[in-house]
Amino acid sequence: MHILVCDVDAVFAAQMDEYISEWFRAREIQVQSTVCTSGEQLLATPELERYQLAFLDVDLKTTDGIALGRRLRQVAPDIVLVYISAYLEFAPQGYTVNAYRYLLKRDIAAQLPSCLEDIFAGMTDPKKTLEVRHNRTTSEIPLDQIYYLESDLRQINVYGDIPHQPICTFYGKIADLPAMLYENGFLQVGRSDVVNLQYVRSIRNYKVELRSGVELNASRQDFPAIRSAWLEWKGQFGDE
Amino acid sequence: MNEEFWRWYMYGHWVCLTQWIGFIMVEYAYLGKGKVKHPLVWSGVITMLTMTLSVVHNYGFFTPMAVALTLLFLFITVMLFGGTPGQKFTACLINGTMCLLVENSMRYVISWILKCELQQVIQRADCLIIIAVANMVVGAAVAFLVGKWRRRNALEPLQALTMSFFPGVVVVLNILLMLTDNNKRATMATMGMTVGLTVAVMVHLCIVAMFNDQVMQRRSLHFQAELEQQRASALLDSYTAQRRLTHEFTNHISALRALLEQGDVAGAQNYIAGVDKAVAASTTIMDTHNPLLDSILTRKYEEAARQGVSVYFDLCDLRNFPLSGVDMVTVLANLLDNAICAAAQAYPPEVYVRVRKTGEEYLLSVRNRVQRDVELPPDGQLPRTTRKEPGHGMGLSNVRDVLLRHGAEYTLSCRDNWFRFTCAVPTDNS
Repeated sequence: MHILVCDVDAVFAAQMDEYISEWFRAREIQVQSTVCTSGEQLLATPELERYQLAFLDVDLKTTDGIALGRRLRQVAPDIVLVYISAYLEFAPQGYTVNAYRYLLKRDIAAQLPSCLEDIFAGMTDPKKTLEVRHNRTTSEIPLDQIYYLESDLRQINVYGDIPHQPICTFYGKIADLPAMLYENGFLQVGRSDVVNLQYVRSIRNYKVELRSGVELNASRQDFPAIRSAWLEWKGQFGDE
Repeated sequence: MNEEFWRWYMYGHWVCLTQWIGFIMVEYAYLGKGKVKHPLVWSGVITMLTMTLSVVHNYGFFTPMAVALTLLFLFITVMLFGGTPGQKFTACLINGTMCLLVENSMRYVISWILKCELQQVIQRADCLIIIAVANMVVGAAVAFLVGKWRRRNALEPLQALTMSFFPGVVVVLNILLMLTDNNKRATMATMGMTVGLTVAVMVHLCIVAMFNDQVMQRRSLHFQAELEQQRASALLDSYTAQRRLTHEFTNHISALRALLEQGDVAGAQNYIAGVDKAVAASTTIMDTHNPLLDSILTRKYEEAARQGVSVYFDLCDLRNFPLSGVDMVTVLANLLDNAICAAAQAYPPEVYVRVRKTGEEYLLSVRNRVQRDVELPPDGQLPRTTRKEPGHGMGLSNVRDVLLRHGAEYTLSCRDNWFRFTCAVPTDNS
């Protein structure tokens, strides 16, 4: 595990490094951490793309932590960003970096273990894919490539970002789709359609509009429940 | 069997039918929907089955078998609706009292006017029509009142039990009258007593409703006072911190003066940058560009920390948050109080607060761990509270009132040991 710690306060950064290393050592996980005291120093670190986790101070003297996080994400798109600050300053652009959590320095000892546990649990989760068997071959489609699934007679069409052009088709029924889909942000909106909520643009007037421009009919009977599920998802994960 | 008999037989069943429809209306109004889907359809099916059973076996009217069948009907249909067992039992009692008082009063009045025996009243088709109409009218009125009562009930169970003592006594007196007078003609005294008791019950219920309104008002005032107290405390905290800082400013100005006198401009700039952050951090723990919101959230964060609960914020710039003043305190203070209270008993004790702004709405999500999943009432109702402190139980319903007033949409769920409250408040320009 490669970890970055960046804080202008060198003493605090060293203390953080110690906390983190100790946590991973206790779980017998090898960890290589790099401690920086400025954004420039962090960006000059070789092989940044290898890092999986970064603890950044929001308020770095020469740059701000949010901008640094954005640049870091360009190099390592899957990196988990945790912001640490004495004072949580929420700017309009703050959430565009999709930070995992914001922690207060004064409570770091209490909150860090639970934060690390959650991050580690997320990292050890198997990659989320839909296993599809068709023509005696098995393929795995990453869930974040799927916009929606539609049942058509005895087949299910899997659609991506290109409207009306299935990524793949397999034999099956909507009722037999794995529960894992629904645990990962998919929702059945009609008798024959299951959508990935992250690609839903709007749900209104019994219609579900996807970001790809596709419009699907929503069940009238279950419409209030569909709206509720969509609202809950937006509240917890939505970033526009 | 002549035509007269068949007419009587048909109208008798009309009385039963109106009585049962009255029961269903009251049950639906008082208990709402439960786990059973389409309870009204199922109630209709059960009504038709009961009617068929009564016709096939010829149970008659006002006979012990007919009464037993009605009671059975009452207990089966009440299961189709929502509410706790206690509420279901109360619904049965309301229906029983309503049915007894209406039919007894009508019988006595008709018997007294027509100068016929009480037994004969239920054998005349025209009287049965009057009773059927009375059943429908009273059933609809009671359903309307109990529906209203359900939304505004503020009485404690013991108070409600005490209040139901008088209607209970009236029911017993009516039954005694019925048993002793069946083959007699109603006199002025017995008719006056039956009608008088019914009127007394109605007056009693009006007094109970007034008492209930007073309790509601008291709770509402208590709640408002609590909110104002919270707002005032949050602002007082900020004010105290500001005063402390003002005091420190004299020292900072001295230090700056010294640096500038030495010509150390860079040192002075660094000093100002340090002081700037120190000032911010010593008043609230966050800056969402909405000072009242910052004060409330900081206060809740401190309260949670004292209870060992970790609160994680993921917010955005909230300077244009559409809720302001008391409305904002109502929503956030209540949601956070509930979340912190529930999370304190769960493991790990965590609360997540997230606010996002989209083009047309602000999305607020408060989720917390719970010890065990709470069963939420269906059809969007709010969970009932179990706490007994005065003013408690107003929280979520006040949150709902504020949100509905602002045209917001909300949802709540509880699964996998997570309670989630999410709402979308339209932006002012949407």
